[in-house]
Amino acid sequence: MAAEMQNVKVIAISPGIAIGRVLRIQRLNRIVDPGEGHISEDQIDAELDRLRGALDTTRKQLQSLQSTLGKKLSAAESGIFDAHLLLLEDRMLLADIEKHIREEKNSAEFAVSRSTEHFIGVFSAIPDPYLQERAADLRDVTARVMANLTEAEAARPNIDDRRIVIADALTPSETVQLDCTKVLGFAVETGSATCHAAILARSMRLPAVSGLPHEIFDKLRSNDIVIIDGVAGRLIVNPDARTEEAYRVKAAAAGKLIDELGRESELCPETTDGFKVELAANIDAAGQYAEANKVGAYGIGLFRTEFMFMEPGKLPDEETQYKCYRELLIAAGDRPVTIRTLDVGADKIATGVYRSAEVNPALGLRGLRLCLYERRDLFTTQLRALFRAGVSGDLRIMLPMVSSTQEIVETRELIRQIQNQLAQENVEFSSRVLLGAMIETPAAALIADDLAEYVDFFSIGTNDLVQYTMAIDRLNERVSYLNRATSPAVLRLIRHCIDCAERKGIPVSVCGQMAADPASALLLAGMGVQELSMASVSIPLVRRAIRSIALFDAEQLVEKSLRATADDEPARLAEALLLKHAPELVDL
Amino acid sequence: MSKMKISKEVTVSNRLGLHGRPAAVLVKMASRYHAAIELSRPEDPDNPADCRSILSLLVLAAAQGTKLLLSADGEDAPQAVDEISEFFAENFQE
Repeated sequence: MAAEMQNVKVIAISPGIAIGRVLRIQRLNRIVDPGEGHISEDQIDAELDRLRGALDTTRKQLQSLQSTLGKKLSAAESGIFDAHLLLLEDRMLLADIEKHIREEKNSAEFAVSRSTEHFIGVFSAIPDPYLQERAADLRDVTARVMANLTEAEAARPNIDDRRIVIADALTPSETVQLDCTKVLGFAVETGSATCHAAILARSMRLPAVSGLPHEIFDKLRSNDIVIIDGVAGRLIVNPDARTEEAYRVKAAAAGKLIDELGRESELCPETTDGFKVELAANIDAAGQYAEANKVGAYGIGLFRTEFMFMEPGKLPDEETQYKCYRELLIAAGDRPVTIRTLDVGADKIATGVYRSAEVNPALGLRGLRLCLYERRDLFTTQLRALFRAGVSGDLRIMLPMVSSTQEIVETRELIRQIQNQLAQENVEFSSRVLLGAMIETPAAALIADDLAEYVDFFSIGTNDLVQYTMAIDRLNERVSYLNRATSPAVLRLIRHCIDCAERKGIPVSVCGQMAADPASALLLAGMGVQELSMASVSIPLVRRAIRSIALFDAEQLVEKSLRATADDEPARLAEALLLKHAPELVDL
Repeated sequence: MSKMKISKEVTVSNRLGLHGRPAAVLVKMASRYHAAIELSRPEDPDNPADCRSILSLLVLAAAQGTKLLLSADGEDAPQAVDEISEFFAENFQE
């Protein structure tokens, strides 16, 4: 690539700045040029050997990855590897690949690519969400085989210094495989801020961007120098000395600030005039409590239980769940722990839970709807486990995807039956557990005053509330310009919800992505929200933001924001307030 | 021990059909037997699916109501046919 500097706008998916040399990873759908994919008769045996070697290496890599990562991954993530191993040993797949090599004299790469595309084509003709996932698995596992066949650019384990990975796309298992000690960050062509790779990148604290233009990807070569700015969403190729220096200063300052914030975990998250906002953590496995505790989280504001239900073909029984919830409650001691009941559907399809495929899962039987009307068996098991575990700490149960009071009435009735049953069986359970509704649909926000009669608290899930209010698919990049929690429409719904809760005297917390953004958190504090729940990694930043302003300033911000007519105005006003009082947090 | 080939008709009766999860269970089940175990559509007996290959089972795309011919060839064929046809009869335990 020419040495001329290029600075392009991309989508920020994981914050931070990375500067370094490129490691280019290209995936199978473009790696093979069919014109070069033919071999001669006498090469067939050597080609088959090469294939077997690559399969063998891949199997070993997967097994070692699975065992080294085993403890760090949720059951669902670990299940990815089981599925991959099953595919890697699949007789039909292997026979098909070998047939291409033997009979059509294809190179091993070309044969793997053809078989993969063939089966993916077959899968995509069958409307089964599980099959679509297997298609992705197949692509993932054969990409790995391909990487082992073509050592040239894909020599991932041998990165000799820290690099920035540039890829057309990264699958979840590839993302997990990125070794933080060797990778500085990554830039991909496709993937949104809510895709699985982005979520993993944030948990691994790797800066990342997506939406890399194809022309840039095509021209970039290993060893080109790039800068990725995972905050402003920029990618700079071959930066000039001045630009590089400016980014180095910025990156160093960010690193220093993170260290400094790490030492503030004991400080009270209150405004300069004493308005306290409790900061709780979002987790998806009981084992993550330790990290939450380290950053000074006030308990758990959202425990997503669905990850337990994602192990293929195996649903957790009452005892397994009871032990998990109990472990978490004991770890949290007297701090509150809010556990959300099974929330599957839309982007989180748990195989074995769904009984029927849906054309439009985001608007289908998900969350509480699925639990009440199709899988009452699972719901009952989970509630029994929860009420039993409730004796070990301060448990609150939160219901996802509420859209009518009837759903709460029916849940209350089911709980009454469960408690009677437990009493009859002489099983110990807690009768003091609070029950809350998540506000994720415009319907729930609009009837918040009625809902408040039936529940003990509200928790606003901003990610879904934005999706349903703005009528956008969160994974569709083409409508991502509407994906903002600070849109006036969303803010007014939140305001309404908080007003209703205040009138009825029940507490409100916010647990979506909005709570984790320091500027948006000021808006929420200004609206009177007394609990924000977020990924542990965001707590130190939000604590500093809250501590830097007076409640009065936040209230003024809210007043102006609610009158805003332009969609981006509230976000700009909030950023400006943050810039005035805690400039170090802007652009971090 | 004598070799034997046994066949039995089975019906896919669960709502989702022979989808990914039961297919994975079938692969594990079939791998425990020595017999060669196949499933085929009666109208297309020449393209049977190998029960030890998840891809091959998925490609059958057997929806609810599909009748399939289960056949096993080998010394433990009777046990294999019993266990697998039972799995079909139980709606794949769904």
